[in-house]
Amino acid sequence: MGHWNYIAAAYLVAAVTLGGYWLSVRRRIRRREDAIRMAVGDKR
Amino acid sequence: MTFARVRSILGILTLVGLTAGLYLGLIWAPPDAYQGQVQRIMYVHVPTAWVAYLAFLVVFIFSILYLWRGSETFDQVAYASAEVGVVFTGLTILAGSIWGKPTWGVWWTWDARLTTTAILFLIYVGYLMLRSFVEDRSRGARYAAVLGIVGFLDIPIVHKSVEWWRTLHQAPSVMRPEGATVAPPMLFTLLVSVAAFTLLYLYLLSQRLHLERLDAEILERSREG
Repeated sequence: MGHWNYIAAAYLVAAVTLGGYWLSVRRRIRRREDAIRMAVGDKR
Repeated sequence: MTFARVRSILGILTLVGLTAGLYLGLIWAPPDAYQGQVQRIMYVHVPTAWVAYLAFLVVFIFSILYLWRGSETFDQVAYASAEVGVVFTGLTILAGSIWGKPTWGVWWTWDARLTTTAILFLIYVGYLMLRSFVEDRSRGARYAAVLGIVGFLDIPIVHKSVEWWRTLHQAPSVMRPEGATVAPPMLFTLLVSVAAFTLLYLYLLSQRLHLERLDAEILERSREG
């Protein structure tokens, strides 16, 4: 029968962990870019 | 070529590599003669472990360069790689645990390989905590660089643990002096997965490095303003 539930769990955990990390980095980048854009706008 | 363009190309290559790895690992590769289908977890577990080693090697090299030359860029690369390395080490432990349950009957055991990997994870979590707790940025960077160099000493111990101690974890089956003992289709799938995860590491590192540069820019602007 195999152990497809364990295989699915391992691949799912990998996808969620790495996808979640990628999204967190993207979110932090967007926040910094917004902060820089606002700072540039304030100076003008 | 701009840094943004390099990041985009890396992102596309990573996506192609991971799709190929997923197809080969879940469909194309044959099941293992002893473990059956569950051995397919290897195509996630081994590449993530490899990337964790690579990430901490980068931390080690760039920490030495930072202490030697004092360039902030070296520190940024080391910091970015440490964070990505912690994510991959955590994933290695999780995937290994999921693989351990059906093969060993337990989610976790204080086996030499598992224990030294858990220590490795904690060392670099400590590295990240040090970075966020020390307020003086350059002092924090120096302390972290020392930890990044000393912490790397655990990697050879992790790698050799299956030979030095009696463990549940299997001995190396690819990186052996006598050659790989894995069947060619499995070895091919593993190599594709390792390549795909290495691309993913480079992509995440480039993104994380971009974030470090934005942080430095904000700090610079706040000093000027």
